[in-house]
Amino acid sequence: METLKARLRPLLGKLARAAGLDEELNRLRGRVERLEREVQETRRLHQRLAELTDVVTEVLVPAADREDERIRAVLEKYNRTSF
Amino acid sequence: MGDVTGEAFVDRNGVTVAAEDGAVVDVLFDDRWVWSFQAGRDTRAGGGRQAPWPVSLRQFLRGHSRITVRERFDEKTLFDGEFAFDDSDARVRIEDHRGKPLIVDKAGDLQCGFAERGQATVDALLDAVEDVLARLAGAGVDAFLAFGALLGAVRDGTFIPHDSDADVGYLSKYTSPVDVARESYALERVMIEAGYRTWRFSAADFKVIVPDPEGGRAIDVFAGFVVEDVFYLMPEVHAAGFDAGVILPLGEVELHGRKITAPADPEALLEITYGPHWRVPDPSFKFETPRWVRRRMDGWLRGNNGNRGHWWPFYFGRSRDAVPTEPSPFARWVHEREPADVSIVDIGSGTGRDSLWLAREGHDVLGLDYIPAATERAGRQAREEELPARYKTLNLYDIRQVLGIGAELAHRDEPPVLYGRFLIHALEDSGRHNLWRLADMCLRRGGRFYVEFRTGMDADADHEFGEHFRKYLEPDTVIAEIEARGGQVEHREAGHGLAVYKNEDPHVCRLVATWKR
Repeated sequence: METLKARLRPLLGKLARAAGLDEELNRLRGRVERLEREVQETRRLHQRLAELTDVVTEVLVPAADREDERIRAVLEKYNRTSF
Repeated sequence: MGDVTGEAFVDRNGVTVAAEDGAVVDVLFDDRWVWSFQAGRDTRAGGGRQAPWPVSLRQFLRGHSRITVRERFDEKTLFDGEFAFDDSDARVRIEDHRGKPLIVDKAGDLQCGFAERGQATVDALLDAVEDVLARLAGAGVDAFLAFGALLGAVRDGTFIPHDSDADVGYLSKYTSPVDVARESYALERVMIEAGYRTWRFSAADFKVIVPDPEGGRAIDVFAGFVVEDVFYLMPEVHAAGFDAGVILPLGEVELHGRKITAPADPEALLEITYGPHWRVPDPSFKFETPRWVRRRMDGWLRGNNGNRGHWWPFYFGRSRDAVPTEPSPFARWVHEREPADVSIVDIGSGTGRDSLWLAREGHDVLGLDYIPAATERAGRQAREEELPARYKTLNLYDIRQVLGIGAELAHRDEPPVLYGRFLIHALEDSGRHNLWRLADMCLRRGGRFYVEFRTGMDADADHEFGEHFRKYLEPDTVIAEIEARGGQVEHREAGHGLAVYKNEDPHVCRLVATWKR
């Protein structure tokens, strides 16, 4: 079976080139690579959004009373207990 | 041990075996097991099937030792004899600074296994496991013993002898990675408020450091969550078509005689975690996480660890000892330019060589670095000398931390002086952009940012600390970035002779920038 496959491979290659399939295959490979990069770029937003939301809920929301001492205390506590 | 078959040999590069693919090979030094690898997976392809000595082990391979190489499951000895790594008379000692034997764990790191630990250490860890599980439950998550600790409990009722830490997991109720990350941040706060130190490894797992008589152990806290019917358990595990009944309702297992919270069906979770052969001990086990799972975990929850693979072992190991203890010429230069009562924030403080010196000169200093071993060591030194310096971890790749520290510094009565020596070229782009964000936040009312970095002219030079990630930027590029973020450069110089170290005289640039509006 392996020998048969090996013999057929060059023939299939020629056929694919003749039909323009190899170009199509290369084009699709490139497109999959680009899509994978784009997917990963988008996935990274999960972490950025989590980080921003954490700061907003833990710091900005308590800071809404506009009292400087309280804001300082909130920031000090956030930095002391978050990382 | 039986006959020696001669199917292996040892040299300075590693262990070469004729074993079949998949065979688990144990390596012993003077009859003590230190490392296991799997033939095929861990050996180099080609004629000689050599498993290179793990990087973490290499620093100990001085002198000579009786080395035994054996196949674990066939109980066949492949090699047994004396080997000299160099000309010294010493015997190889793979031990920590207290003389406790170390082993190579599945991540390739050196650990002191439970087999070598005293009962007091095991008890302290068990107490902490119970406490951490109770606090996680109190915070509203279904937390349970997981990974090696669960495996040891189910198999033998004890920790695995070659294991060194305990792991817990929890099943999050959230199904979006954003919320899983936020929940993990909140759980870390619970632990810090309870008095633990923590180290974060991704947005969904962190270590809780447990003090003990032997210097401290860790409990890893891993998020488990379900997205689109696939269960993910950080950092490597997944199960498609997951049945939550594997975990809930929570049950118990026995560990060193204590009842510890466990998944409903521990055997099923162990099979999901380690595969169908989980009952057979295999210290060479490594996770084979499919690419699609790894890409999801990486994309959703990792990515804040830029170059930590280099700096973590650097500061946790002996390499840091090569860093000079006297201050850099740059620190002296900054000190001369600033009044002694100005407070300085050293970003990327490393061993603390500069920040400790600046504190000795009278400056109030805050040292920030993303490697806990670096900040903890410098902090200890500052306390011993009663210096006005404190140290804290700061990961410039994490927006939370940048905004948190930036805002705290912005609210100080007096704006600080920021100090970043050899920081710019150690950062990836996103970390550097966050550094400018931090400066922009806290220097609007005054203060300065002093930076010194290797320029493009240093890229091809020899480096005393060897080659690792360095981003060589031209001064014009850095200045353009500072200006784009609202800063102005008030001093610029570049050249050789500014940062000489041993045989190295790098081409560096010094900048002083302000952000006053």
